[in-house]
Amino acid sequence: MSSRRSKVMRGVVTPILAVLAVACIVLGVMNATIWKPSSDVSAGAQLNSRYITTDPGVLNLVDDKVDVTLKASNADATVCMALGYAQDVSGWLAGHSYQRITGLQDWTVLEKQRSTAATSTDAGDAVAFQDSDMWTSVKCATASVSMQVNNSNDRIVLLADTDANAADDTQSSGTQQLTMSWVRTELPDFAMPLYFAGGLLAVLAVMTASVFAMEPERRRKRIDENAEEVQEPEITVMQAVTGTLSPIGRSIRSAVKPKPKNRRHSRHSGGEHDAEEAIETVETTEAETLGTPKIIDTGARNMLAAQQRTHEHKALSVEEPEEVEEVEHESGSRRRERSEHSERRSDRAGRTRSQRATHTEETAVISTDDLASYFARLSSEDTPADEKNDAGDDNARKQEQAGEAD
Amino acid sequence: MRMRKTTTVLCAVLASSMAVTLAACEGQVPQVSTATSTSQAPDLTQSQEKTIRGKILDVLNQANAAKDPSKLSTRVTGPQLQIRTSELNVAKATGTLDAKTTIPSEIMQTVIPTDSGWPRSVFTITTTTEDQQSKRLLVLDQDSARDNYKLWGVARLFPGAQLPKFQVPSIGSQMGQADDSGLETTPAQAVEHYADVLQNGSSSKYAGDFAADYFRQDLAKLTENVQAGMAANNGTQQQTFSAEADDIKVMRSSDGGDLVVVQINSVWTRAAGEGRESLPASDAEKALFGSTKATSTIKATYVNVVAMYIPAAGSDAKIQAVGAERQPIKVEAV
Repeated sequence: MSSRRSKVMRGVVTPILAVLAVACIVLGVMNATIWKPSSDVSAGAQLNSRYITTDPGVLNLVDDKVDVTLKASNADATVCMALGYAQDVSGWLAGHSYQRITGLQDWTVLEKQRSTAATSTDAGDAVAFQDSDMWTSVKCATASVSMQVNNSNDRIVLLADTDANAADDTQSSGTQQLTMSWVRTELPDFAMPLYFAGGLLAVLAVMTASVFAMEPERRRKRIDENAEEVQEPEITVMQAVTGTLSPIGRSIRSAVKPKPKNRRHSRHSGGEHDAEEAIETVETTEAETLGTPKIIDTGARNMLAAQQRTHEHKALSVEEPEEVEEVEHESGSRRRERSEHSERRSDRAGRTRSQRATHTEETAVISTDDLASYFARLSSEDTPADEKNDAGDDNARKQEQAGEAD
Repeated sequence: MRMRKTTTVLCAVLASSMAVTLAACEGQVPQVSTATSTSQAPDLTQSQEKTIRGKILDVLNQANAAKDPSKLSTRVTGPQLQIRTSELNVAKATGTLDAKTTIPSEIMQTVIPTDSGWPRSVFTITTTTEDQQSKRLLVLDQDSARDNYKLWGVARLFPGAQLPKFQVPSIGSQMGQADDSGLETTPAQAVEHYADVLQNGSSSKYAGDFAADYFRQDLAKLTENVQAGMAANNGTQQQTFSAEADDIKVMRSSDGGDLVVVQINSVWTRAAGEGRESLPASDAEKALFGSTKATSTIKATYVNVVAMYIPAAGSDAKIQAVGAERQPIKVEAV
């Protein structure tokens, strides 16, 4: 079964995906090079009206910069082109028929529409088209005129008069060719999605050849193993949290827990037994917490230390030097084996004394085991109060004596 | 099996998406957004106003240099055409152009309307002149889309006159109408009342509606002086004022009132006592009168341009004339 699955995956699916990936990338390259959309957009229209105007928004339809060229059929006509506000242009066109450029039909053809403006006001001593105050810019030439427009304002439109020197009511009979050319600054990018698809397919091909070709059971097992590995740091975090909270939680538990237990156990056992159980539970949580010695809330410890400092410092400082001595002994034995034993001893004793002195001040430098025993003791002292405390003190005193004797 | 199915689906999706992208090689044709903004925008930019004013000043300067009013009509219209023509005729007779005709080329402020129809008016306030004459309020008027802006009126602002606040030119102000409501009185009524006050002085029933101004004071003083002289010779004098209320220029200020510029025509008839001749009362009148044979009665026709601010209704301010211009345009013996 397993061989058949991997055969299909590696022999059929993977090649297909690989071919598709290559095809996508090739198509992407083609789209970025020979099929690249042209940045030059040039659209034209044949018009047969004297006045030609663009709708608001047409001039900057493709890009803010546009080259407009108007060629009149009459080679002697004065052709004028102006930019003005839409309201002024419609005022100028009042009472005249004109053609509007309303947009792009496709990338090469302009959409046009014929219109006639409503009633005109009388134009007794009308100014010439090119002399009007209303235009923001105006250009005139014979037979053909072109204008470069750089405009992002939607209110600005183009107005052209293909026979500017003729009388007001003269209608044009010829055919005018209007061309608008934009240079697109923002080209549509068809290559990037293809590259992306190609990349995706390539990854899929690799996966079908490896992970998906595997038996689902095996894969799942591996995933489970992975999951365990992943979960491990989570446990550490949990431990960290409990480690932080347990010193606080302990006091709360000791206050709250015994009550229900008392009720439950009172049928067959006395209060003494209960107390022992309570200690046991505390101790087990302690053990869990102390599995990760590096995460210790200093604030919490200080709280306890402040309460217990007076009778606990001694007990701690006694145990510490033993380990230091051992380390010292190991390194010492390696380096200078032939040095005199008594000399080393006296030296060691001196150090131990100094260590002891520092340990009364900085309790942070404690080995894991010491800390564990310390907490164990601490918790045992917590519940039975005075009796345990005394026992702990005795124990500490004994250890101290032993350390001094050493 | 499921794996292969998903792969097949994936391939199909990819294939179809590729087909789509290949078909639309040039991208989609952009569409003109149909939502055209309806917000009001000023009719002119500041630079356009400057260009227009420059063209008007060019025509004025050429006419001044030639002392020839015949070419004024291309860029001057309304009361200013009558006034400037008279001023140039006086200058032709006396050899010097009155200093009050100076129009500075620098401006303090321009008020551009947002109205899309015609006629349109642009109000421009110039700086003081080089010889420290007061600022000028210019009214540039465009009668129709196929006309250009022309200088319609010039009022010399009174020293210390407080003009209302207007919107900045990039936003544009709104033009008012002769029958604007929400004001102390409508602009049409206000200008007629002001003409009545000019004619009847403090005895006019509207005198209390208008704050004191230099134009009224000077005119009253002149009339008083002339009256004293005429009375000594058993003569009479009469001055009538009539406002051209159907052709007034109104601009709404941003504080609710209207700034109104109006042409007020006046005719000053002076009849001398028995056996005496009535003569022109000023250099300008003399120049216009020329060598006409004087008779016992003289009639001088004046054109006055008055700018006044009508505060919004409910304001305790009075209507305040802020600037004026006065020029005899015809002096004849009758």
